[in-house]
Amino acid sequence: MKEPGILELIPNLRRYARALVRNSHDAEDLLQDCLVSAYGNAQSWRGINRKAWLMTIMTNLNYNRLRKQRSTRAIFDEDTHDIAQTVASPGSGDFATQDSLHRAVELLDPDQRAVLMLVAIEGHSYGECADILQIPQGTVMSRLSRARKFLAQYLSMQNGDDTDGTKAPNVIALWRPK
Amino acid sequence: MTRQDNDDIGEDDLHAYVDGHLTADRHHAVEQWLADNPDAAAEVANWQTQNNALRDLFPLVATADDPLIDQQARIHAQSTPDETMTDDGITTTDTPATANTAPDTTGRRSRRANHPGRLQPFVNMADGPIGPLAPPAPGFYSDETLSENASPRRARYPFRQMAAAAMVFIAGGIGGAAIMETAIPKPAPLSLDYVQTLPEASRAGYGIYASEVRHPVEVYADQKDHLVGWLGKRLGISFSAPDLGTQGFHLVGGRLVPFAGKPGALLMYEDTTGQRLTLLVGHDPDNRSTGFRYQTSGNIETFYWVDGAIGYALSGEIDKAHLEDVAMTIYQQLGT
Repeated sequence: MKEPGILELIPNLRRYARALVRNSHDAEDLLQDCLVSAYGNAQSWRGINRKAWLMTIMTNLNYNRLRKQRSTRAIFDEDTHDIAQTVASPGSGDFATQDSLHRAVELLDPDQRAVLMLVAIEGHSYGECADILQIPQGTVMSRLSRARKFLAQYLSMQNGDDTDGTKAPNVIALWRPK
Repeated sequence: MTRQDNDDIGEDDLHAYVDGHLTADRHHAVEQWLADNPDAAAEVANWQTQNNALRDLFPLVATADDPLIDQQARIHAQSTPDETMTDDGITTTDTPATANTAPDTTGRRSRRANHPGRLQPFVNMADGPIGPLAPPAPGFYSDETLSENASPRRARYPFRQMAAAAMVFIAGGIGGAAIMETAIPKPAPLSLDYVQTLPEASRAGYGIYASEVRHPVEVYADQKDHLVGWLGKRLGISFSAPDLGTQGFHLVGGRLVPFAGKPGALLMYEDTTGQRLTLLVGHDPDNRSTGFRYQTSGNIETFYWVDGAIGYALSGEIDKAHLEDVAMTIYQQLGT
């Protein structure tokens, strides 16, 4: 199978960036940094699974970004608040659910979020995911588990007052964060 | 069919099942196993729904033209500046235990009534229907309506607020009666005083120390190890200071405060604009977990909950949604 070129993978990279980063302008910056780094280090690609290689670059760049951010600035911006406050407004229908999910994803631990995005959205195998994030596969599984259970918990909370109680409580994943 | 062959199916298999990483044989085996394990099947179904919803939420994006930005702009245009979905008039809210113990309709109604907007209680949901039945804290429904601030932000949904208040009243009556009639094995109930003391003490701590410019804390975050060691020792618990970096707050430090007749810990956090939050932590072996509760008084918002033997109360002068996010982060990090 022919490996896709970097340009062909931009939509995937952009999607991953947006899943990792709260703000879509920052996501675009992350994407650009990733492309610059990828072209600058093209020789470091071993010729297999270019997508995973690019995802690794982006993951690492994002870690650096988070590390800097931690010491320099508050992450919350006004838009985030406005979205939050709209979550439960009446009549927002499906959009509210999507928005709840978005908030839940934002609330995930960044490490767990990266795993969930690579597995659930990008469809990488657990092994690929472990390679991309440079962590053991067991860690991939535990982060995936915690991410999924957190989302279930969060959404069940949101749904509790939006639905008519048609969701039986035992449909909700039971979870204690460790 | 051969259920005994499937005893080795574990959670990793369930994830792989959801993500389509199983061989056909194994997939089939898991499918059969799920048929006999409805709880796991429900969880798996939930994860599948998540996967689909996540793919919808994060579509492949070919260009930088940004649907999310449009979406945000739309929301921004729709929301009024004063709109917050606080149910101020109802303040103290917590019903997961009721949801578990009272008849369905009652639990549902009270849960909805207490939270016309966003729903917080979740600690006991973790115990859920298969866990031990948590007793309702006495005075569950004696909602402390502390906020006298009839602020303009309530004006937007006056009917919702009134209806919600009425529902709390009704649900409280029905729920209370139902609980009395239901034979529930009751462990020693959580001391009412303790739970009520939490938000009070937290607000007090916040009010006193958050405005303190020169000595907001006794031990600063640069001596974090000493700080957590010292506070943990005094409280008699294994203690750590949550990292709220993802929420934009960093640890300033902490101090020892009197709380419910024992030593308590007050941690202070600050964002880059100087906005502060305080987290009060108290320990009592007789404590029992509660759901999230929320109280507003003046400008100070407080989330409080009891997790195992440890009570937490988070106070700050930031909007409720943000404070809830912070409280969730703390709950996630400090959960035992």
